[in-house]
Amino acid sequence: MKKSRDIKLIVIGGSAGSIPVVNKILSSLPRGFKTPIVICLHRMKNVPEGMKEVLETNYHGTLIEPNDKEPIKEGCAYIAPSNYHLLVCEKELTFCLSTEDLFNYSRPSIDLTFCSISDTFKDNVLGIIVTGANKDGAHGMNCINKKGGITIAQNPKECTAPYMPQSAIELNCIDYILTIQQISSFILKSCK
Amino acid sequence: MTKFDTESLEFLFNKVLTKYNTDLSLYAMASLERRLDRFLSLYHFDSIYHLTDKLIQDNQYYDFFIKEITVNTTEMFRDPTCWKIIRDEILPSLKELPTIRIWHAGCSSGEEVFSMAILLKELGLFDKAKTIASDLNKEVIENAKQGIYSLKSVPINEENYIKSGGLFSLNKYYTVKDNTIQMDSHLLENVKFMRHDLSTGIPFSKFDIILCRNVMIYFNKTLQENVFQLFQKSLFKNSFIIIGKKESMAYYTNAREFSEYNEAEKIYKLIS
Ligand SMILES: C[S@@+](CC[C@H](N)C(=O)[O-])C[C@H]1O[C@@H](n2cnc3c(N)ncnc32)[C@H](O)[C@@H]1O
Repeated sequence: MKKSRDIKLIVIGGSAGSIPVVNKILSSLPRGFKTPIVICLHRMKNVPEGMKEVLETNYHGTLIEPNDKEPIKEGCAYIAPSNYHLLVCEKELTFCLSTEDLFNYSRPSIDLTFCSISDTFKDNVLGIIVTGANKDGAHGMNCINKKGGITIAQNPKECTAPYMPQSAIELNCIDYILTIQQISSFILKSCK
Repeated sequence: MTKFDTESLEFLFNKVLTKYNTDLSLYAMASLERRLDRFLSLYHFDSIYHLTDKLIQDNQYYDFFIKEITVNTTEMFRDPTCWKIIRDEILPSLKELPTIRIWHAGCSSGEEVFSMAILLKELGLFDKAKTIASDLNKEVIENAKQGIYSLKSVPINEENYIKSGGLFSLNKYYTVKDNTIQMDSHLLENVKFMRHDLSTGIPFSKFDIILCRNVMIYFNKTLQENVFQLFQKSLFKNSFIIIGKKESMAYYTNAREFSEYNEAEKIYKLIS
């Protein structure tokens, strides 16, 4: 297959139900893992706290809900704040937030985050879409694929809500269909 | 998304700056380019150059354009925990002042202004307040003056109001007409609306509280710096500036001249 490129950033998208899945991935990463990770999960409005605590259990890096213009750093995972879209500023490599209307019924919207990141990081992105019950994220995976990044969908058979990864797979933009365990090994193999 | 080339963007920005004195080049490109892209396809322009021509020829169309490319989403008592601090701590700490001067910078359609007016009423400070509410955008200012909102916005506004420590029910402050609510116009008695552009504007008065929430996220770091400077010059000593929940003053060069009054709610106090 194509691609054995430098991965400079990992992005993960899913719905609120995917928190345990994302936690499994994060907690499988070793101490000192460098590649920054951006996580965009649908969240319940006005229930901001709690998600972060669950996500960071057993994760060795630092989990941050970034402020506007916060720089992207190695060794950190970033989670899109509730009720804002999370974008990345060109060149400066900082986050940029927006309160633009809901997109695909969601704010944050995975599509907006993924497309913005692929605009900036081009083919240095690893995009991962996991369990979810909305088509948000499929278009974003397509953006990553078009810019030459690597795309992984969680195996729908393993998903509690397969619609999200399935929608991406149907767009023909997915390089690998993997289980959670395989996703973790893939990251360990291809990132620092 | 279509990526615009720098040259065409500069062309647009320069023309707009010269004619209308708004500096779009200082906006955060990640959102601005998205909004531009959307505008071009929605209104069928095949290039930035054609759009620029139209904007330069037609002032009214320019107003419409500004309305469309800025993000105007807002709520009453948005982030209720912040409004609770304003209710329980900030306003009470100013109650001995003869006048409480408030500036809503980037007030959008006015929900934030009504929220503050309701708070002032419930705290018995209404008659002391002198408020300026400003925005770049003429149309949203007109909406704010009218105080007519969709009925659909009521549940979230009501929920926020209660969570922020509201004493009654929000319906004390509006009447329902068909699918809309009409806010009690009495609430705007001490409010003056004006068009003020943060990208090129200068200080015009001094305040005890400045609210500028979810406006600077659309600006780049340079403009954020300028705007913080403008606000610093517009504050009395020991006055407050309140920014959006996910905004930060940390990157402002004079941040040390402010204390973090409440870090989580992004309330800062000018100390020197
Ligand atoms: C998302 S709204 C914020 C509304 C309200 N403060 C809140 O937090 O709910 C952003 C507002 O900033 C205004 N704005 C954008 N650029 C501006 C500028 N250069 N000067 C003043 N206002 C501006 C927009 O017109 C819009 O109404």
